[in-house]
Amino acid sequence: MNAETNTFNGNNGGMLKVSLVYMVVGFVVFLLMGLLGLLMRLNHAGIFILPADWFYRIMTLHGSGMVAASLLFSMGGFAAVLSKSVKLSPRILWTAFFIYFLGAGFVIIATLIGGFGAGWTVLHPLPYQSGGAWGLWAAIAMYLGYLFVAVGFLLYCLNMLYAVVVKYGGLGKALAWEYLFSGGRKGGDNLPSPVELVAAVVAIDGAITVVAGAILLIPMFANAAGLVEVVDALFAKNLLFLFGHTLVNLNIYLAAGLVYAILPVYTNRKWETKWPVALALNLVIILVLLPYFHHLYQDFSQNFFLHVVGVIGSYGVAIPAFVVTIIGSMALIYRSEMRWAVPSVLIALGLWGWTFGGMGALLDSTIPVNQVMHNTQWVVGHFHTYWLMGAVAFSLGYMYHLINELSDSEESGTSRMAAWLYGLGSAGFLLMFFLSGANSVPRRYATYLPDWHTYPTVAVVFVLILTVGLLILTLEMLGRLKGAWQGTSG
Amino acid sequence: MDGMLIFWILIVLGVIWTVIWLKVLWSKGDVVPYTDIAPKVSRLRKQLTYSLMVVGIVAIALAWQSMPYAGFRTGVLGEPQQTIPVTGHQWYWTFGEENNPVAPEIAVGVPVAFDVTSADVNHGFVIYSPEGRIVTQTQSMPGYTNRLIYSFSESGTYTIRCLELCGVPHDVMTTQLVVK
Repeated sequence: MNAETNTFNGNNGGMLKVSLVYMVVGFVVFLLMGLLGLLMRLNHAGIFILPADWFYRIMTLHGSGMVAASLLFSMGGFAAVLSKSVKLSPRILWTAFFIYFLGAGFVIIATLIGGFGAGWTVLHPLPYQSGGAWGLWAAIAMYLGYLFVAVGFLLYCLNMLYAVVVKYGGLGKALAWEYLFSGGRKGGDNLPSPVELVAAVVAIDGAITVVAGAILLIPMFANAAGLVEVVDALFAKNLLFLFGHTLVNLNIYLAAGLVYAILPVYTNRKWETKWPVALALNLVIILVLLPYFHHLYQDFSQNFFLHVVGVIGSYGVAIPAFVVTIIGSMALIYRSEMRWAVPSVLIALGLWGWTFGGMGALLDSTIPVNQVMHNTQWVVGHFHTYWLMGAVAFSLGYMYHLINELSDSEESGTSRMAAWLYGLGSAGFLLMFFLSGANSVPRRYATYLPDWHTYPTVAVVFVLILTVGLLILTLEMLGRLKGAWQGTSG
Repeated sequence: MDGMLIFWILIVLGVIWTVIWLKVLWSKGDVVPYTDIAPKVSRLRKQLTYSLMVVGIVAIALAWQSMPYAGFRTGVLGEPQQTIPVTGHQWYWTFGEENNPVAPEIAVGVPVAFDVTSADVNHGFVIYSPEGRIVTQTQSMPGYTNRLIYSFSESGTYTIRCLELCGVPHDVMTTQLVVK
């Protein structure tokens, strides 16, 4: 492949190699973690019973592994897209990848060998007070895992931020501040693209997130070493959710960046940085840090003002996402020449899922609703919708697009059908979470009452449909991967 | 707040969204230049932004009276007539003071204050109705006491479940509360 393409610019072959590795590894881990998720649903359905200790180990690995996998998947795609217009360092991204995976290794050791089963939320002081289910070393291994994953992500963010800032000659220019604060009258001649804006925003919030995680880990390690007797449970919870909730939200923004990149290819329309886009993404820098407070609505000792911030932040962050990204995407599709292909189908499904999951989240971020939904399967429903029918759908669509583009391949009608099957299977699977949550079925329960078995049983049927779709797409991409790898050399 | 009512709200919103989404997807054959669409999108964005802000303010206003926090519940239900200390332990609940546990007797229609804390890790103090639906909840946290005020409208046996992962036997951390 010699000609410049939508992603390949003749000089970014090295970056595309790293990006492919990120995406393929992220996708494979996503599939493996999905299998663990299936085991959990089979257990809930009473079809395949897991011992309770193994259920929580698997649940912890599934939760933290899925976050890491989906994030890596999006990071890879986003780096590929960004590398066409700014100079990223493949060396730094390889380093970030190995550090990230070192972290993943610690998490695997902590859960599968050490028996750690405190959930991805690692709510203090449970990791250190398991009642004999796991030892202190397993908790430390889990925290080390988080530390390395966070450092890997930080390196990735700093690389992006540096590249964008260098290209535009300053942070303010990389965030289009002159254009933004002049109401669009000045600074419009050298604006960052929407993808570059997303890069700067995610990098800034990514760095803040990692700092929050580091601030949490210091007392955690000090506590384990006996240097600090007690760590405040509410303080730990706040920092944990500032880190964890924000990280998973940034995953969605990275994946949405892929929509900015490839939807124009399929609709033959341009996505440009206009004033609303600049405003929305700059607002996101602050707004994305606020919704995490909704995880603490039932912690009545938390200051009431922070509960209100949680409501306003949760509602507020939805507005730029919906009004700019989702409405903008729909506008690109509306009465366009859109080509139906696997990536455009997955993006369309992702836009549907992101919005539907967002509705579930907004309802739950209303305090009286959260009173009866907190820690039920409703919560699981909304974030699985974000991921499966949002972030992962976008990343999968982009990976399929990139592999086909680099290997110069065409897709078949079967693969388009597989993409729709992915959507159908996902929707049914996710709806069962919402329905069971509405019926007060708890999340993070190893054992289900007989009355609760119906929901996971129906969900398993939809998982099988989803699996068929994924299998077809996976096999197709697998057959083209070698060609795509060669395609990165130009 | 009933969980199924919230579910149906989600379904109605989801159906409306799906119809809009399908309409946009099916419009693709009827091609017009983007320059024709862009001004309409710009207007739509403004209208949506203001509309969503209004919806958000209305939602907060409607939610205000149903806040679960002690000051709000007292305002609606009146001062609690009974106070029950509750402590979560790995993996059981105790009512009353640590050195003087009691089996609480609760009457229908009487505001009760549960002062909920934890002796070890975080737990979730969640009250399920005799029909198996969550009626109210708060977190049981080490180092903090959360005051949950509630007035039971029906007699029967309520189940307390822990909904915050607290260790391997977390899902068997249940007890019962009889309301007469």
